[in-house]
Amino acid sequence: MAEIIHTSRITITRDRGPVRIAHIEGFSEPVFYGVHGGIQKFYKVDPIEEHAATLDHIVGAVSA
Amino acid sequence: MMGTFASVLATKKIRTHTDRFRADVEGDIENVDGVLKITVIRVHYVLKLSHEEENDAHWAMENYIEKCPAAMSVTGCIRIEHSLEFDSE
Repeated sequence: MAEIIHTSRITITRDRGPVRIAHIEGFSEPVFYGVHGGIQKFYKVDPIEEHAATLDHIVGAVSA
Repeated sequence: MMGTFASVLATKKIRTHTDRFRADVEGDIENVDGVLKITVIRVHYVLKLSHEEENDAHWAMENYIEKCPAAMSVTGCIRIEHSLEFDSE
């Protein structure tokens, strides 16, 4: 079994519509997830405010 | 995952806004042959609902993950575990 180097701990809550707010342990500023662009069109939702989607974050994080 | 779960819960009229629903998440990052790798993500949902809604919530739990784009994007690479705790109203 491999050695655990770090455990990421995050609490996520929901705001209005598709907006979710993530609090990552060790950081005071939250991260917002939502919908926009093609993802918004796909789901046919009209959010009050647009945020980057979870998939954007995955793409960015893998690429960073 | 949480957003998709919420949308499936909504089909059963279960409300999940603000303080009614949260996910406590852990992700283990392991040393696999000298490379740091996310090996498991554990998502523990805490959902406020009435006793009468519990069966619908269990049904949603069993039927949402295949609809989740993020989970489906990493399935096969990262083990995903999820659990559900009820917080009775």
